[in-house]
Amino acid sequence: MNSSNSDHSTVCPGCGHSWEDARRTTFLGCSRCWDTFREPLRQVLREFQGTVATQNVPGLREQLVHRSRTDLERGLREALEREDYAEALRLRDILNSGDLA
Amino acid sequence: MIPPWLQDLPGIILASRVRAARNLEGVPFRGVLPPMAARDFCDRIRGTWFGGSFQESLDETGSDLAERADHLRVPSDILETGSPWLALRSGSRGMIVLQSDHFRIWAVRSGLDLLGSLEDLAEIEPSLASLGDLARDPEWGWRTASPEDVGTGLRASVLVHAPALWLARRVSTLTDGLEALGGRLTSPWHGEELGSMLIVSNRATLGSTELEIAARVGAWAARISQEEDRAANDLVEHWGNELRDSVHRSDALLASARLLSPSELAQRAAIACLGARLGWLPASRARDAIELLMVTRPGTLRARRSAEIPEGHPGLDDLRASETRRLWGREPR
Repeated sequence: MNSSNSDHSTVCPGCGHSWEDARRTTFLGCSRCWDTFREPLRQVLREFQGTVATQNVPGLREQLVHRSRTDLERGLREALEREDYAEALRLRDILNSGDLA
Repeated sequence: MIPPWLQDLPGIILASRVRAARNLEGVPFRGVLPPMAARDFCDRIRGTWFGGSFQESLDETGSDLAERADHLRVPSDILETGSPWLALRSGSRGMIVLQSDHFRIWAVRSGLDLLGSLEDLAEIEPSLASLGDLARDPEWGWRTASPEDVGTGLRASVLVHAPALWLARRVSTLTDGLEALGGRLTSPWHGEELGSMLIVSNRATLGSTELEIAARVGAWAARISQEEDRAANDLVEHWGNELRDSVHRSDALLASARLLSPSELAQRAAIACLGARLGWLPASRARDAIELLMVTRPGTLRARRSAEIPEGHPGLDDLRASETRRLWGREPR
């Protein structure tokens, strides 16, 4: 963590960690440090992550369910195209059951 | 101890692993948490999960640390710190408590199956919420102890065995290429220089979904597998006779050596494994070679010898050789 663009006297109220502590150890002291040292962290993220993009995505389980649904829907379309109605019925039943986790 | 994900006849891609970092609100991270509080924290987690979700456990007080640490995926850098930590495991899933983050949950599957590993991870993750509110940032996703993990907290990695790339000195080219793409290539053993066993993983954890990261890492691993095939073909095309000779010399040496340094073992095991893949040795020798690299780790050998022997000391060479003869003396299949 090389960003020095911070007030050195600031201390995290959650853990007592200073930005200097974080720079020295490369670790934050607690989750509240993310609020306390927001601006220098933004600069650090640009270095470490190459981005400061907002991470506003569904949880892992929701992503997997969405992917299962998409795969099943594609399978259903393909089964219908090749007139494989038994497979189409099977896939439709899974989709309708809602149990995709 | 051989991990369950090492298949009987492994290919180039050995295993897929995912791990996610999660933390509780209001609890300091490992570096700030006083040792007594850290011990209480570990005990609380053990009390909640051990015997239910996880059947194996290990902490820094374990008497057989070196042998079991690899098995429970405990990274070597926290083994000797003296600070409390806890590892829990059940089959191919587990959790490490107080390794930088409060929780690092992981799942591993054989071969190239990062999606399957993510499905396993998704089964463990919800139970963490029973311990309290998980720390989440309104802008950057999961809050972690290090900015290197923020966002998804996900490290997706694929373990590959690429003896031909290593013998042909092409690994560094791959390392540079992966760096440029946002990935990294490391040794499975913390801090060691790259050998024939490699881990390909993501570097960035922010700005992509877990599925996108897994897909990217999977594609890199598949590409490395192709490059390994190409390197093997090139070696056979240009130095087929010499390579074949080297394969059989390695086979004989592994069966009868009395002293083996780590570098000689690494070289001979890589050549023998490549020979097995090329059909010049029984196919099972590929697995034996990989197993050999795992059971002759310095920490594992040191644990079997009571005297204090520093890493790299020739005092382990005879033990390394006897382990090798024992394993290589098995009837090939």
